[in-house]
Amino acid sequence: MSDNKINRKDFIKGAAIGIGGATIAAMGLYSYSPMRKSHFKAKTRKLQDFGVCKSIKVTNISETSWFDNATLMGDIKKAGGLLVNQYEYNWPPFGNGKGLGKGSYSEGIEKIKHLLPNRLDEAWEIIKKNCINIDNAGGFAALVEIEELDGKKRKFLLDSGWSYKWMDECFKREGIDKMLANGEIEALIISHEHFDHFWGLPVTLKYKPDITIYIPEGFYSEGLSYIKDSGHRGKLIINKAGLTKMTPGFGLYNFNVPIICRVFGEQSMFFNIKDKGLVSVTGCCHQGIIQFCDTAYKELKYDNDKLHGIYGGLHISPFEDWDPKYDDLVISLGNYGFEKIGCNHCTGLLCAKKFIERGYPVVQGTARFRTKDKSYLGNGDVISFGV
Amino acid sequence: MKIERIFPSGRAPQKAKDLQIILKNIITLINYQPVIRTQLNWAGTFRIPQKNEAWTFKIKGFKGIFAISHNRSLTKASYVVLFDLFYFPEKDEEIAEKFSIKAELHANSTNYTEMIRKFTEHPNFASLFYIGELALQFNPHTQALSIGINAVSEDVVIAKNGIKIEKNGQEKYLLYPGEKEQSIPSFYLSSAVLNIIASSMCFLVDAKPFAINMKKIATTVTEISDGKIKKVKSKESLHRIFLNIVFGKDNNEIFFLSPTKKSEIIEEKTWTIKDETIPEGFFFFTFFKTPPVQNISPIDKNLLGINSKPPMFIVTGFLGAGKTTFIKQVLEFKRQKYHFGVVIQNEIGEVGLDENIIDSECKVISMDEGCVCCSLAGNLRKGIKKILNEFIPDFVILETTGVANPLNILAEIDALCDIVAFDSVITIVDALNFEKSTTEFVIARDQIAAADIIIINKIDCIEDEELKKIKASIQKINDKAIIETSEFGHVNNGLFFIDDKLHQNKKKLITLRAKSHVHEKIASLTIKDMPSIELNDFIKKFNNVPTGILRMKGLLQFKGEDNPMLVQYVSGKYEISKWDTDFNETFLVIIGKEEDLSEAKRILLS
Repeated sequence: MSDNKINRKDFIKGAAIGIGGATIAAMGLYSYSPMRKSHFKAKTRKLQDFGVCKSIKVTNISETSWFDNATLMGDIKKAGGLLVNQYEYNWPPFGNGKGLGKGSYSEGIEKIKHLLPNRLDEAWEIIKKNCINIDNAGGFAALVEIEELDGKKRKFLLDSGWSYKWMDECFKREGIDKMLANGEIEALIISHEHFDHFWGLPVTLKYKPDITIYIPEGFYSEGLSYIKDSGHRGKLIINKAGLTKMTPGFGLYNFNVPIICRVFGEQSMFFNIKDKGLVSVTGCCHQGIIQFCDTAYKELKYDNDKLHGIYGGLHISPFEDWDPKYDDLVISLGNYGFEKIGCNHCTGLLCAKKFIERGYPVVQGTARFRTKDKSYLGNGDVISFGV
Repeated sequence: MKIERIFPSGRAPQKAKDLQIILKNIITLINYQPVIRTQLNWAGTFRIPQKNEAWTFKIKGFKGIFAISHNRSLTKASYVVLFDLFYFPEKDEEIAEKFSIKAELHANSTNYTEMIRKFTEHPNFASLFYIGELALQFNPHTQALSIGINAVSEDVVIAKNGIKIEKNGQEKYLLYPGEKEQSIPSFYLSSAVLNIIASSMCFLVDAKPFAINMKKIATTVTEISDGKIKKVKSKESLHRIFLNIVFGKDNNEIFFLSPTKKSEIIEEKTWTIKDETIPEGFFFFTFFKTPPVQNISPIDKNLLGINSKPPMFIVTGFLGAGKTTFIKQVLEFKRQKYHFGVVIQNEIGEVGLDENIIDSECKVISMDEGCVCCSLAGNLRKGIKKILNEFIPDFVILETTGVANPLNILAEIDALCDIVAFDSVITIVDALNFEKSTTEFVIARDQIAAADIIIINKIDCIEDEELKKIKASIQKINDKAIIETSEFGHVNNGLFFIDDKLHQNKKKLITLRAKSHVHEKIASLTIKDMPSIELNDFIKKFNNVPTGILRMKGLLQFKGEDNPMLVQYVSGKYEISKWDTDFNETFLVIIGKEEDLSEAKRILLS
């Protein structure tokens, strides 16, 4: 009887090329599939319209979050790893003098609270005594200028860095201090609660204590207290997961993901530039480029249905790693067809260099103000979209 | 139980939807802990970008891809969220044949991986790979959280009349009447998911389960005949199994994942976990082995016996093959995943140039001059210990000098096994100088012999024919290593550090025994304070150095340039590039056969 049978393995190998083809369809193999319950409905693209703007310009105030990665990682590792609460490291400004991994928000803020936000130099002297690796602290902050269709310009500050000392220097270098003081900057957007983006908050408040602040949902109690304790007197708006429409063509998207050092939630900026397409501006982009682009594709409506530009930390997140093919950022990024790419140092120097080698439209920097390489946009560098 | 660790803002879940966030947080947070993640068998994850939770992930020990996707959330006496579970087998693994023919055909199609990555967009495709249901449940009164699965021991489809197909004009049976078209071991697969999620939960909330409850009912098989589908009683004893694991004290828990009719239950068991006793039949659940980690500090990990020795990779390759470039890429790749590494180098020559080339993203430790293999027991051990204390790296790369014999290193690696976990030897082969180096130098051949992975670099400089020849020669020396190719040292790191491929290849190392300690008469010479020189003159001089010179590198001041330039020379090929750091002393290191060094120096300084 065996000669009237085809071995399953042989059949599969032989038929593999023609799935859905006539041979198989004729076998009636599909017949039992309909009885299987459908586990989910195929999702369709449901696009949210958040308007359109003419152009944007991003000035990198500081993207040197810290100066030496080995020192930072050594601190994190010795304090207990990537899940340890960031307020416990004893990093500036929340030092209690007890050493690495033994800090606390309440003990740290107690020592400097009375000096915030105006007497930052004095505060920094106290911080020096109580914190570890003070000179490694830098910070991330960027100025985003949006030009609306009628030519009206609006300014937003994205993040406020980390070290009071370094950030104040950077703010002065780029004239942010004056823009804040004379009310040119509409609001401060904090991308996430991380030390290098958020702990320099008093530097912004020193010049504009009543500025409106947007944070993503998920801040811990320490972070919420810090906003008050820093002397904030303006509006605080907490953005829920998903899209928050800001101004025409400008939206914030909160990816409600847990991040290292016990932080929850990161919001990124999306812009719809007239006749060009979508532009995104991120700090670290912890959620990773794949999540980021796919979310935009699935949820946002933008001109030309085209991902036009991106600026920020471009990398594959640690949660995108079972398929080596997609783990290669250089290849993945190529698939999205961006017309203008600006990397910050989070992207990785070699990666940025590979983008350039491959002929991707990368805007290069000037390597000034302690930025190490021209392959990425560093401190004081500018990138524009739609102009 | 410290639920605040997996739920933001430190509050308890207040609605069913919050449990969806808890699952996401468990998967995300555990993956931030490289050591624990590996310990618990996570082998890669990918979150499907969509509103409701959907993930694909790999578990060590399974070749295929698991997937989980949100089905629905309900609020009853407690909050419940239900997920569907799937397993997409690898086409060549044995279990693939247990899935339906249609599923197996999908597994053999070229767009299979693409479909898996977007499985939520292909419901009909995904349903062929369905294995069971997973539920998270939270009781707001008792604050107990349970994780459970509902799956059948074997998901059987029988072809009552067989399946016939036509081949060469003849009707043939693909399946005889009554044969199983599908027999998925659904419970086995689903329990692997339950296991890894519950284990991760144990670690994150710092608690052991309070109890385990298991209920069994009889189940049917599916029979297909002439396009009709029937559920029929099975001849074998097949069960539907509901297994719930409870965290937090809860005696009166009514599990959502339970049979609808109590009378159907043919077996029920509850284990209360009071001590270390593992319930019979559940020993494969690793969460019983997961120690309650109070504070995830490395010291505690050691006390608790979690292996936190960082893996050590040995990178070797003949002079100028591209080791430094390769290592830089590995470091960057790992850093993106929050893995922090240190590199230990010992280059011949007094100036540790490569230490300056690799940027400050990682810690580079230069060892004393000399060959690593000669000083393993002493210097290297001391060096590694110091780094481990100072930085607690996730991995260590030992870059050997271009003329070190890795076989010698392997012979002495045992002396380090209490501080690092030896991982593999990666050898970079220079396609351009392959012939010369392997015929003239025993060490170049030994580097190939000792490798787990061989990367043929600079293939952009050679023809395909040449590459084939090189591959064949390599296989003659070492037929077990994985061979990859690269241009400019660019390789897909995922292939080495994510895939199991490497791990499957490692066993042979143990059997390798070092040969006698071989040293070629290769030496180095350093010229400090090189006088500034015209670029063209210098190129002429470079071209005239004796053939025994293998490599030169250094910083040289050329006339008309503001800053010194980085010069690298490997067997007749040189590269001059800009050098943007504060390191401004000029020097040149010459490496090659001992007898040729002084002649080279004479020519260069003439």
